[in-house]
Amino acid sequence: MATMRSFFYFLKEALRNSRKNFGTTFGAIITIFLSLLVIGVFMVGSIVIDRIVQGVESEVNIQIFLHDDAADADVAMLKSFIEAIPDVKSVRKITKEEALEKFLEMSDPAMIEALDGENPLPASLSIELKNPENVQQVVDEILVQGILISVIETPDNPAKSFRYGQQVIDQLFSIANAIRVVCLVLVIMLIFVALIFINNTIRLAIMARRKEIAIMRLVGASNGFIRGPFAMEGVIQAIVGAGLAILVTWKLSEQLLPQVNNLMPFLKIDYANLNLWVVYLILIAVGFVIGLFGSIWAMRRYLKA
Amino acid sequence: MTKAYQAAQRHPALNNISLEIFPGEFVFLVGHSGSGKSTFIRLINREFTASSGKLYVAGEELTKMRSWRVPFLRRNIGCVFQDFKLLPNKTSFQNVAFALEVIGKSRHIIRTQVPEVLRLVGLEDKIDKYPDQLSGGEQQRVSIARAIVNRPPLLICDEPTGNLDPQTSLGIMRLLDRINRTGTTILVATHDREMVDSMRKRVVALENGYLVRDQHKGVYGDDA
Repeated sequence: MATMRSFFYFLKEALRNSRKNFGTTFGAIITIFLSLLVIGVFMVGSIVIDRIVQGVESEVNIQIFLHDDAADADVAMLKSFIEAIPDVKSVRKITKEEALEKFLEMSDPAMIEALDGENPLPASLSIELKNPENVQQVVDEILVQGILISVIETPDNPAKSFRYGQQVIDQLFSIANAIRVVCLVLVIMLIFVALIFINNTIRLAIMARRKEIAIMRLVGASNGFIRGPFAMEGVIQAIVGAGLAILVTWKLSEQLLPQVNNLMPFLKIDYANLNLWVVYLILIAVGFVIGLFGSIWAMRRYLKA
Repeated sequence: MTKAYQAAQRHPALNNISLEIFPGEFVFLVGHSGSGKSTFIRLINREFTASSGKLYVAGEELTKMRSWRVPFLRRNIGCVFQDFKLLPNKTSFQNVAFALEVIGKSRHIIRTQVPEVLRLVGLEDKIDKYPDQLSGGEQQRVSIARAIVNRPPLLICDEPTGNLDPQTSLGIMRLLDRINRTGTTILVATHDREMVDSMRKRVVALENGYLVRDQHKGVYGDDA
């Protein structure tokens, strides 16, 4: 009962003080808002980059082009050999007809006419990997299979029948990892900067009211009771600031991500499924924590006995 | 009891003071500036603790008191200051009510006790005025109202009339005397000679941190 009453007293006081010191409150909210917005944008950015890398990763596969005269039984045998390799997720045979169909989809009509009913494309095996980083090992394992020679397009040089982008993948991974580390470091630095900014703002607000605090101490208010309205104010400001940051981050990603997708369709960002609520949750939590502990920390020196 | 400040260890602000104040007394604490009056008052309020010796308030030893108990001590001690220490953005009513709010009193108690105490100090018609709409004497009455609204057994006043003219001071003193007659112990630190002489109460004189005189029905004296 008493704690409920205190809670509402804190809330009432916090709201009253916010109204009265509107300038300071506004400043604090803007500071929190901007800091969290930058953090939020960076987090969304790193999630998008992560998704792009994942998307590219999932497209990394090995293609083995088959000879037109390869016996179906031999191909089936090679297929089952490959399927037995632990790193392989799935193997699919693409027939000449399927290959042509896919080719025609991507080419212009003039090209189709030039083909003149012929199908120059070979059949192939398309191998999907569980872990794209191990592509080279898988290729090496396939190369030592004896049956390979009898089915591939270029028996005299088996490696020529393989298509996979080892170097591209390696580069992609190192760039993606670098970007992830940089994003993480930047987000941590920004949180630190936000903490200092917010703490300073709250400190100024408290300093402006040290007379009030002195009187509260004088008439015997407990430290918890003195802290209450300030902590509540800090939390309210932080949550309003975080709410604004979330709103803007949300609107920005809603507006910008489809455009990024339009500009670079090959990236194939699944922006509808980005799970950005994790970012919003983190923003609220970070805001709450810096609002609460920022104000308690800033008050410390005024509450020493 | 001795209080030595960190900055001047060899010249204690209060040196070997031994004094007892009984419930219901009205005591003047007199002396020049720097004689230790304020230090004495702030020790009672436990704004800091004595360097050596013991100080009991209502049977409790303040040097050993845990810091979380201090707010409860202060709820039993009313404080009045030379500069009133009123909040400029609150009315008389709100200033007095503030003292009750922050110790968690219910709205019902606030609504009945605050007008009553403001009537007691003679400000029933200034209840909604802000401090800058009040005269110095009226502001000091508000601050006295705030100090006694919680009915503390002890009221300590640090130069309560230091900013006021003699006529107004007399009114404040009469008010304090009336509060004293309801049983509240009152300790007034002052260098207002006329007032001390006219009231004829117990006078404790300090000089350079030493207790030089303790006299019942005393006067300000020539030595101080």
